[in-house]
Order: sequence, then C-alpha cells, then structure tokens
Amino acid sequence: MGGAVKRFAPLAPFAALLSALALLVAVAIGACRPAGGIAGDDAGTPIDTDVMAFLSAARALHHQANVKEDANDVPGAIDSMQKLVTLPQPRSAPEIEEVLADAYARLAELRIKNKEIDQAGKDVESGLLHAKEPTYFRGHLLEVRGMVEEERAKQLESAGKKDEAKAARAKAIQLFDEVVQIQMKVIDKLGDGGKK
Amino acid sequence: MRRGLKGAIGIAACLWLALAAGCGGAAKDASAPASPSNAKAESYPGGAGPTPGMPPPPPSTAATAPPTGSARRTEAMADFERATRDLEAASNECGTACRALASLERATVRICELAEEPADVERCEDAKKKLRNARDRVRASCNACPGGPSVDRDAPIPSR
Repeated sequence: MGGAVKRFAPLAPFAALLSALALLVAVAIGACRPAGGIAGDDAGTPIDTDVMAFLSAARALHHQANVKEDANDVPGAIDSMQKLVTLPQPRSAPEIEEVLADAYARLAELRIKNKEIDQAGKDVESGLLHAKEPTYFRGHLLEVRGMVEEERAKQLESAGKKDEAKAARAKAIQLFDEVVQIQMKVIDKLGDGGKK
Repeated sequence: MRRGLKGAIGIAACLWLALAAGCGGAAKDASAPASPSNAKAESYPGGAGPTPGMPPPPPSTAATAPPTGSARRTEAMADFERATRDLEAASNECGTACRALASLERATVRICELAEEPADVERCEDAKKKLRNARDRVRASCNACPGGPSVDRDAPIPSR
C-alpha cells in the first residue's frame, strides 16, 4: 500500500492540474449556456419549468384517476380530478388552459357516472371558461354538456315530467349538433397549420 | 517532469482561450435573428432590402468568413430543434384530429339515438354525412387513428 503511494507520488501535480483543467472546462461550458433555464429553441426561449411542473402534476393526477376508475372507485377518481383543477397555476399559458378544459370535461363525465348531474353541469361551465375558441376542447365540453342534458331528460322522464324531459332531450340534441359543427371545423383545419 | 507540467499548462491556456472564443460565437449566434427572412434582410449592406426589380447583390466573399465549428454546431442544433418541432406539430395535429373525429362520431350517434321528430331525424342524417366527410379528411391527412375511431368512410356508426 505504502509502495503504491510512493510510486504514484510524482504524478500528483499532474493529477491536480487535470482536476483544475476539468473544473475550468466545466465552468467554461456552464458560461456558454444561456441564462434563465434550459434552452428551449433556436430563438433562445427558455422552457418554463413552472409550466412543465404543472403539466407533470396534471399527468400524474390523470394516471391516479385512471387507476381509481379501473378499480370502480369513481368518487376517488373525482377527487383526483378535483385536485387537478385546483392545482396552483404558475401563469396563464395555452397548454395550461387546454389541460384545465380537458380536466373539467373528465371531471363532469365522472360526476355523471356518480349521478351528480347538477355538479357536472357546473364543471362543464367552469371548463368552458378555459376553452372559448372553437377547439377540440370546447367541442368535447359541449359534448359532455349534452350528456348532462340527456341524463337530466332520463331523470325527468322517470319522475313523470314528460314535457320537461322532452325539452331536456331537445337541448341535448342541439348541443350534440353544435359539437358536430365544432369538431368538423377542427378537422377542416388539418394541414393548414391552423390558418383557417 | 517540469517540461511536462509546462506543456500541460500551455494546453490548459489554449483550451481556455478556445472555449472563450467559442462561447462568444455561440452567444452571438443565440442573439442572431431566428427567422430566415430577417437574416436575409440583414445580409444587404446598410440593412436595406434589395431594390425592386434588381437582383440581390452577390454575397461578399471578403466580408463573409466561413462559419466556425461552434457556429456550425449551433446551426445544426437549431435545424434539429426545428425539425423536431415540425414533427411534433404534425403528430399533435393528427392526435387532435383523431380526438375530434371520435367526439364527432359520439355526438352523431347520440343525435340519431335521441331523434324522434322529423327535424331531428334530418339532423341525424346531416351529422352522418359530416362524419363521413370528416373520416375522408382525417384519412387523407393522417392515414389512420391508431386505437381511435375508424377513418373508413363506410365504417358502421359507431365504428367501435
């Protein structure tokens, strides 16, 4: 052991120099990186780590809801989606708006499954605030609103309120018709880079 | 040993200078205009564009130095980023189109199920026509919707 130390002792200055060199290279590479986070694109836009964290948390909560839904735990899945829509938002960003619109649609669908029709309607309204343009997300939210009306019609029918049931059915048809128009527009935009 | 040390110090100094120069180049590249049209406009002397009807002046060989290794690397990385973004946009577009087609199909099914009045039956037929056109459109642009709705015009409604 002592012999080995002696044998490598003359190389100590080299080792020290190499370490210093490595540190120098690391510092130089670090200095070359643009400040403000990870370089996002050629324009030097940094990827917003807060937005990334929000999207990651949203994905995790969707997975959690999937697991609970697969185990027939609908209230548990509702709880996961409720957590998602109340996550603190780092700032307003299109991707966050889309995630929230989508989450409210799923939350409302779960509420319909759980026979919470009125709350489902409220969740759809909250979701629509995040999807004001005729996008897939708005179309999907209107589809769920149509499902809410359809469910309401069934309940009214069972309660013997035939006229009200008929009105709810008509409203559902009107909403589904609106969905067809919106999703057709979304599909028509294919390939034009969203210029239409 | 002493000569070896001196050599190593020399190498370290050269490396430091080279990195510092490359770093400056990269920083300059990063602040350069991203859009190719802007870069073109700036290539004319005085920052002015070409005179209408006149061909653009040939690039000055004296003024244009060949790109350094670092500039080439930055350019290649920018090209790669652009290509990745284009690919992502195309796949996102088809993903959205497939989800929109699925939603359209579900809405059509529900309209037809709920239709009792003649006006609603007409709405059902109209929605079916739109669905068939949408299937054609998605098939033409995206080929298929893996795990999603059918893009075959004559597939049953619902297709799944």
